[in-house]
Amino acid sequence: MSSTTLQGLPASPGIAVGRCWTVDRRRVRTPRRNVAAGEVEAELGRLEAAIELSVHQLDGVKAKMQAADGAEHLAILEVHRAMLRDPSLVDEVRRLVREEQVNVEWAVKRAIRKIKGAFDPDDEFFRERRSDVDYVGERIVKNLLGQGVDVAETPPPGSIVVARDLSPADTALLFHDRKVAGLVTDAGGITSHTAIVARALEIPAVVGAGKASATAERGDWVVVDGGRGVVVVNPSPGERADYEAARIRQMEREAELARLKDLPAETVDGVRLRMVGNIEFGEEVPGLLSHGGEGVGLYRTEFLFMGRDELPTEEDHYSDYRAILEAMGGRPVTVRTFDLGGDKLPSGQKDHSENPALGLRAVRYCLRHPDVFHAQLRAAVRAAAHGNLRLMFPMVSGVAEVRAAKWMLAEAFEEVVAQGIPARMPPVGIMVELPSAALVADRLAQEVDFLSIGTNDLIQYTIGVDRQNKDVAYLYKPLHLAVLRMLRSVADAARAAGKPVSMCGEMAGEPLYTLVLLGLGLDELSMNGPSIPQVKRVIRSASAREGRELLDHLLGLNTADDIEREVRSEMTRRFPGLLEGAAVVGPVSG
Amino acid sequence: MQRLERTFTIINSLGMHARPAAMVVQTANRFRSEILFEKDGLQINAKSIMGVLTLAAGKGASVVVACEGEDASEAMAALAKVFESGFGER
Repeated sequence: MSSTTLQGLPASPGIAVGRCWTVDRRRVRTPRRNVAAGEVEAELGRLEAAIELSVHQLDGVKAKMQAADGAEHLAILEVHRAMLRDPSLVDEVRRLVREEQVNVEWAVKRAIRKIKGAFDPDDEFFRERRSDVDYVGERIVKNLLGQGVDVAETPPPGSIVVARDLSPADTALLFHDRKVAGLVTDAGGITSHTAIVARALEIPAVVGAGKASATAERGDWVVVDGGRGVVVVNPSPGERADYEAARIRQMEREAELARLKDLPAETVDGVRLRMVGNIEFGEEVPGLLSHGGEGVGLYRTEFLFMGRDELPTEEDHYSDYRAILEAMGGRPVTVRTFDLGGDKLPSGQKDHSENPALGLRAVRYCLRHPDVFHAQLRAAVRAAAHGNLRLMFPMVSGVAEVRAAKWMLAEAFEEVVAQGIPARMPPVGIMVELPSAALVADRLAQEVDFLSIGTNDLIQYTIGVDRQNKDVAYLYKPLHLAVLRMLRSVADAARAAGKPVSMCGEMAGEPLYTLVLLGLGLDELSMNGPSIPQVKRVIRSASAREGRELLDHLLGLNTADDIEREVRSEMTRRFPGLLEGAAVVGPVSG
Repeated sequence: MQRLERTFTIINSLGMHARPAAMVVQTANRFRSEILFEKDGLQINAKSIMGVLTLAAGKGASVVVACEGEDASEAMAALAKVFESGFGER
């Protein structure tokens, strides 16, 4: 039997090797027939019975779950239960049966389709709700047809569950005793309910794996590499042994990373970096601290705006900042003022210009709307009295904008002080994310207390490539020679001015680049909390001198591919195992 | 029979997502009154989870709640508690 490798989406990191346990979740075929006028009431009675049974089943699932399975999980089952009795479903089904004299199964199918039409398929929240409606409709129809709905058997401990997709109820039933080793689904995205639960329970999982359920049979060996999104069905004995060894190495590595938590990020030649985190919500602080975060390098305040109709007030800002400062207990917290614009605006204010990325965004928007900016600046100086707050302006293109923003900050500070409210003037920095800012970094450094390089935008604007555009995304290269030259000139300018420089783009949290970043001489790296231990591990076993030598060598090469190959081979040689199983999972929204 | 109307602001950071929606619908279904929610000109039946979900009310959004029926004041009091607690979230 030859092995088959499938590529899916990395839903939950970790490696699992086990026997396949397939869960049959074929879509139900809905029959259509006409109902005679005299049979309509009997037909409606079938609907009642099927709904009753469905409610009873979901109650049974909930009873089996543990509180530890998470509130979100229980909530989804509660939503399904409410949907079963929803008047917009039940009344529509009754109407169809009465008026069109069709069978209940067919009426349910039609009603579900109509309800889904009200949920925007391009919106992630509604996409999940559409699949909720589907699961509910399917449950009713299967009950009408007398078919089994939920997984009836428990897989043997250590199984790899393989399914077309899994309903939240299936997920609850399969995982509540925590004996499943891994999970593979054909469908689904990394923000689907199944993926969220897998991450919460730390079960390695790959979703969107295409035809996994058609490929693997019950009892087959299956390997799940959740960090890379790879599934191997019927691995050869050699492959199986390799993955088994990788799994053990990974467990050892995790134990080692946990030990690293309280050790400093210091190179063997004594260069000490500060490891800080990027956050969007105060709820992320405990996770950041548990990974050894020494501060917040980027607090994205625009998330205060998300999903609301009105601008946040000064009090909204103040209470948020203060809560984060206090939770961080005196560690530095870098608050980035609104990076708003384009589609990130309260409803009614959206920018419909043709090129929002080059439009009225971030500090440009704030300077144009002084009332919005003023409220945020007042909140910042007030919050600064309660902790180690630093303020940072995004999308700065030159000295004039920095001076204008600082002038407004001073004005807000004086106003607050004049009112007798406790306040402190925070250190001020800028994001270097436009090529213009990078090229005048020496002058900008004279105006501010620190610089922070935002690599995601800097790379896009330098290479002139929209990473979301799949036709040109291949050009997005963090190691493009132009990017490296730009990074070096910013770092050199900051150092010459005696100002600290940090990096807060994705590049900072990718251990592949850590040695290069050491070569730049950065003072601070800001990343998602879970990336901190891996990056710290590289820092602690390398020297800044080696980083500088590598960077000098790379700057002599020509193409991004050559540079990347060189970095990859150097890092693989020096840090075997570094690049395997590195999980790339974005922030998860509820 | 009486008709009551009040406006509530969504105060929890995640807005009226799946869990709060289920909570609101459960509360509404405890009463006989007709209960309607309105946001941005969209009016829905508060006893319908599908309807409440389509409102997609985020933090800061205003929702007009109208209760009509013999137990309208009890219904309004119960819903006020749910909205004002931020659905038990921050």
